Amino acid sequence: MQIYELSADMLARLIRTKEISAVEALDSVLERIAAVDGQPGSLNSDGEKPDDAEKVHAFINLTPERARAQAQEIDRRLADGEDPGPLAGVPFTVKDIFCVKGTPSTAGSRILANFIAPYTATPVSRMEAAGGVMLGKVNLDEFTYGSSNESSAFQPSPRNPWNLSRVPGGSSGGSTAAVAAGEGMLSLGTDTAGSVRQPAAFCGVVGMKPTYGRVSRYGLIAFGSSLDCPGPVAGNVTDAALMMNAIAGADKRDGTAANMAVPDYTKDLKKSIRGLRIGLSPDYFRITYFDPISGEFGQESIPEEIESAVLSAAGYLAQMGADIVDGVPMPHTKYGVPVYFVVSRVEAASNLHRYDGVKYGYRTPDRVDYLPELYRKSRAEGFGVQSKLRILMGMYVSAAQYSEQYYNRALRVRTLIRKDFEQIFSPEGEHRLDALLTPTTPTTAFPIGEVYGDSVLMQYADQFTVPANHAGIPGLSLPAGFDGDGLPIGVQLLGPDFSEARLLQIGRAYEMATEGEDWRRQRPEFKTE
Amino acid sequence: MSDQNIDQPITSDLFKHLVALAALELSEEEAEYLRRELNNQMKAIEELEAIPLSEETPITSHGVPYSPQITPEARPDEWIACPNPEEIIAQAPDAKDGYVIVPDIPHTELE
Repeated sequence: MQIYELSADMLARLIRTKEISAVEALDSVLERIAAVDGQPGSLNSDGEKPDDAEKVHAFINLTPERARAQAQEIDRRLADGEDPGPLAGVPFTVKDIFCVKGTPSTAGSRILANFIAPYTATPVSRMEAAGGVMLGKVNLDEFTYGSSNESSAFQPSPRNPWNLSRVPGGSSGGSTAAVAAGEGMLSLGTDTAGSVRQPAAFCGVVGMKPTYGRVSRYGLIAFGSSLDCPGPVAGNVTDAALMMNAIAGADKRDGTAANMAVPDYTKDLKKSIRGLRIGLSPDYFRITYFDPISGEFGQESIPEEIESAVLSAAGYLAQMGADIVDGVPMPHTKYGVPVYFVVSRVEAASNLHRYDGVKYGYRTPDRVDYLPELYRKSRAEGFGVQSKLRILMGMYVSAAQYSEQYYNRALRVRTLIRKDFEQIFSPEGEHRLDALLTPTTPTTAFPIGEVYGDSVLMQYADQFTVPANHAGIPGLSLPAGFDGDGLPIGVQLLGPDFSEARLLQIGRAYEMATEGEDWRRQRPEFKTE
Repeated sequence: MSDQNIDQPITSDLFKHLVALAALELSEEEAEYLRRELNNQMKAIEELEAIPLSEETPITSHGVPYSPQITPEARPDEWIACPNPEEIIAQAPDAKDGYVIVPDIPHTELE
C-alpha cells in the first residue's frame, strides 16, 4: 500500500508516531497527483490534450510550495516534542469557493479568476490549525451552480475517477474526485442543495452536510446564504468525523455559526446502534419531476439497483441491532426542487450583485465611457451562463409585484418541508426516528455532456438531498456498492438538528457490517503513465 | 408586462427588462437559451401554487431555529482596522493614490 492510499486517521497516527514524516506523505500524494490529474482547469487551456480524457483534472491551483512549508513545520514540531494536532500532516484539498489568504480564490468563475484572497476562511484555518497540509484548490461548478462540474469556467472540468467519461457530480466534484483518486485524503466542500453529498455518492466517497450553523461560513464565497453549509469529503466515516472535529464550532466572525459546544465526533463511532430507529420513506424511492414539454407532474421509480442498495443497507443496519421503520411519509419531498428554484435564486442574485468590475475581479478590457456600461460589460463577460440564469430568475421571483406569489410562497412551503422532518424525528411523534435512510441520488454518475444545459433536469439530481438544506438538518452520504456499469451508489442518512455524531455512528456501523463485501476493496483504476 | 401567458410567463419584453435590471448584456444565443430555461423553471415553480397553505403557515427563512441558547451574542459594534489596505486596493482593476478609478458616473440635472 502506498502512503497516498492510507486513511487520514491512519496517516495522522503514523506521522504522530514518527513512522512516516509529513514531508514523505506530501511527496507521495504529490506524485499521485502528477500521475493521475493531468492539466489543471484553467481559463485559457491550450485546448484539449490527447490524454485529457484519461485524467481526473480535479485541481485548479496546486500550491506545492505552500504545502511543503506546512509539512516541514509539522515535522519540526514533532521533532521538538510538540503536538501538531489530530490531522498532523494529512494532505487535504479545498473547493475553490473558500478564500485562502494570498492564493487565487476563483469560485470557478472568470469574474474572480484574478482575485487573490486577503484572508482565510475559518474552516480552512481550522483544518490547518489541526495539522492538515493544504495541497491547493480543486474545481467546482461556477459559484457552485451545478451538479456536474461542467459549468466551471476552468476547463477541463473534473472527471469521475471510476469512469472517466462520467461526471464526478457537483458542485464539490473536484473535492470528491480528488479524494476518490488518492489526491489528498480529505477535502473541504460545500453543500447548498446536495453539493457535498451528490458528488460523494457519484465518486464512492463519504460526504457530510452538517447542520446549518454547525460550521462557520466565514470566508466562503456566498451562494445561498440560508442554505450554504461547509462540509467534509473523506474516504471513510472515521476520517469525516475527524474532519468535523476540526471544522465545527462557533465563530465570532459568523453570526449564524451556532454557539454550541462541539462533541468529539469520533467518540461514539464504535458504539452499538442497537435500538436506534431508522426510517425508510416511499417518498424517497421515487422521483417526482416536472416535464417542461408537457408541463405535467411526472413520477418515476428510482433504478432498481439504487433501491436495492438502500434496502440492503437497511438490512445490514437491522443486523447491527437497529429498528427499521417502514412507510415513513415525507409528503413535501417533491417540492424541494421547485422551492429551491425560487429561494436559492433570490439569494444567489443578491450575492452576485457585488461583482461589478470595480473593486476586484474581472473588468472588461474594452474602453467604456460610463460606469453602468462598465458594470454590464464586466458582468456579461465575467459570468458564465449558469450564473446569469440564476441572477435573472432571482430578480424575477423577488420583484415587488411577484414576491408574494413566488418568493414568500416558497418560504412557506419550506416550512412544510421542515415540518416533515420535525414530525418524524420528534420524540413524542408516531415515528420517533433517529435517522431516515434514503438514496443520495436518483441515478449514478451520468455521462459528461448528457444533462448539461438542461437546467431543470440537472436540478433534479438534487431531489433527495435538497430537502435537508431547506430544513437545515444534517445529512451523510455513504458509499454502498456499485451498479451494473461499475459506478458507485450512495445512500444517505438524514437526522435531526445537530445529530452529526449519531449519523456518523450509524454510518460507521454500516461500514463495519459491510467490511467483508467485495465492493469494499474496489479502487478506481486508470492509466497512471 | 401585461402580455404574460401561462406557457411563457417571461415574455421577450419582460426578459429584456430583467436583463437591464441585472446589469447584464447577452448575445442572441445566450438570450434565447436563458429565456427558454427560465420559462421551463417557471413551470416547476408554478407547481407551488397548487399547494394548500393555511393562513397560519409561517415563512422559514432558514431551517434551524436559533434558540437563545445557540444564538451567538452580537459582536460589539467596534471599528477594526484592516491590516493591509494597500493589498485590498491593489486588487482593484484600476487604482491610483489609494483610490479606485471608474469611468464617468452619468448624472442628470435635478429639476
